[in-house]
Amino acid sequence: MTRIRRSDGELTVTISDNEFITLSRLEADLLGALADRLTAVADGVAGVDRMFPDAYRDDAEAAAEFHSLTDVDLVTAKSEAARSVMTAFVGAEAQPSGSLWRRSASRTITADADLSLALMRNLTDLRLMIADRLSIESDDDDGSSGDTGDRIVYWWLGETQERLVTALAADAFGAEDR
Amino acid sequence: MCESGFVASSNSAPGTLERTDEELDLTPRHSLDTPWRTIVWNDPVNLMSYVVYVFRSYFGFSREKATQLMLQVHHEGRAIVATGTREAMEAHVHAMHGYGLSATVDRAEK
Repeated sequence: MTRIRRSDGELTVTISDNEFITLSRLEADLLGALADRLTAVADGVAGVDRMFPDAYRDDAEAAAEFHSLTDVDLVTAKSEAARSVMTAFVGAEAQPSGSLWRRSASRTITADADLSLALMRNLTDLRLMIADRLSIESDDDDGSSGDTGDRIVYWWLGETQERLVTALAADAFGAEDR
Repeated sequence: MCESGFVASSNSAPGTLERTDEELDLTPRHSLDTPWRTIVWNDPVNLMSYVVYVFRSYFGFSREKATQLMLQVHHEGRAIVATGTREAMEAHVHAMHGYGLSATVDRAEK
């Protein structure tokens, strides 16, 4: 299970090797989806997408114009976040953990403010992507009709996001909240 | 919005918060200078804690105000989080989209 610790304003995130493999696949899928969005925008055929909501509800023309002005920027920001998260975990040396008989490995990154924010946004994008696969459309839908693997991943991303937000909020607003 | 299992038991459980109508009436007084507004919409994916974090860190809202707005989004489906010029509201919406939240711009009702 992903561990998130905070000390002296630094955040460390530890993931298991299996989680690292899962994350790598998810990031590759996300980068692919973002590249597809760019192509669709260029071809003028970009459709409805959770990661790219309409900025105007009752004005299709204004909504299309806003997409044309902001989608490339959003794709860039989301791709950069995905890449910086991957770069950090790839660069983290795999440390052996577990017992002699159940040997596994984990990777720990130390995240500064920029990387923490990138991770938080990136986890959001990954959850939006998986929610789409699970066809989650309402608050009480936990995706139970979807693929089991996707549901586990969705749960893991949510728990990790929750821990990360808790840690970041304590850092950012700890003094105010006391 | 989505509520993760282990948050539900924390002391910030939504049910424990007091809500009053005055506090929830965040509709601004309309004027000629501020005919546009930024609306954040409920979505089934984003975590309640995350939405509060975004409202606090991006808009600089207090915990109370951010939480009230988050609950308004959750229960009523949407909340007005800012009013001002069209340009400023579009910048807010772009930022919200960057955070993965669903947000729109519209003209405040006269």
